[in-house]
Amino acid sequence: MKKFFTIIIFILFSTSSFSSSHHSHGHKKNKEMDHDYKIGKIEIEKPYTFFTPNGAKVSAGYMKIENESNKQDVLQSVSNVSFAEKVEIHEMTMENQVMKMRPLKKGLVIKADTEVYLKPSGYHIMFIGLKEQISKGKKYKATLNFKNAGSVDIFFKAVGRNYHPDKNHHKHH
Amino acid sequence: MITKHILLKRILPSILVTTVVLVFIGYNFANKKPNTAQQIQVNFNLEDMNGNQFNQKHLKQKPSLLFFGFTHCPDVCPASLQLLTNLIEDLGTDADKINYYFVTADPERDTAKVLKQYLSSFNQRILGITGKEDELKKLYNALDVYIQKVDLGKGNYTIDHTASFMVINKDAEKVGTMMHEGFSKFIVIDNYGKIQISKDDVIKNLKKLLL
Repeated sequence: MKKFFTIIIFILFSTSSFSSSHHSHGHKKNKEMDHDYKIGKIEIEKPYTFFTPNGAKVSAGYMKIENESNKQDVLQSVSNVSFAEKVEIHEMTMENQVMKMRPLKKGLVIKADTEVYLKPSGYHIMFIGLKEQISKGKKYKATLNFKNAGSVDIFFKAVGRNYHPDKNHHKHH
Repeated sequence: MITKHILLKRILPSILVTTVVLVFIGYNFANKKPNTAQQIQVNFNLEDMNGNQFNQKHLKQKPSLLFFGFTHCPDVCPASLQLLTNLIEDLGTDADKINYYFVTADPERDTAKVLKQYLSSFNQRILGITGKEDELKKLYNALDVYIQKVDLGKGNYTIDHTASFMVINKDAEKVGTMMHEGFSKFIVIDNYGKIQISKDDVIKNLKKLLL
């Protein structure tokens, strides 16, 4: 009955025009320049973080992690971050319109031959106790520590909230 | 003959009257507008980020959009404030007809000063609201907003909170919610995190509900 008394605003959405466009330029060479990274069988694509609102004490980092191995791997921790006091790997869920965020204490599992997206409203790297504001055009270094593949240094690119990593993407999924 | 007489003179009229009454009630019930609104009747005493009082009377000045969140929220709160900023800009000249509030779910850390600094990054019409926990709870409860502090150990905590906007008309009645991807399509986030809005529909629906 509650449904009956609640007006819900349904809004139609348009599908992304970006995801269907295929960019043929830029191939797997020059990984660093393309803002992608690789360690062993783990590939990290386009790590990014949003500019922070004034005075923000926390921020989140996102990326795509692809495991090309036939064994699962685990992103166990993120270290070597100079711009925050603490870094955690978080999971976000939505239940009955309620947002819940929890640290993944055992890390983020990336199963064999799969890809995991860290994205808004899903998994993210949580930067706690920011020592500086995340600002436009800057890159923020971190080390990702995988159980099997080992450690890899990456840079999070600071972007606005309308940023879409797929815009300049060159692989078709 | 006597039986027939009684039927005609006594029972039949009462059946007729009853039928007319029932039809009348049914007609009225069917035509009555469904009661979709729940009015905020509770009195609360809060403050805005400029140090001014904020109470139930402020919700009767104009229609309102309220979001409940906290500045130590890395994801859904800044995203929602950015969306609200976009929405206010898209409302154009109608933007002034609505009040916009960011009500803290974390009064311990979100003082008026903290809110003012944080919200300076978004549309200036968005007013931060804070206050005593007990007073805030009155507003949360009146709007069915779920706020729950969760201890993460070592003095750290996070807050589980309703992540949809509350849509309030000028009579302080909750007439709807605007929700995020996962339970509605107000915000659609694809695998790469792009936020998509069909702004025309948002505007159309808001105007219908509020203006």
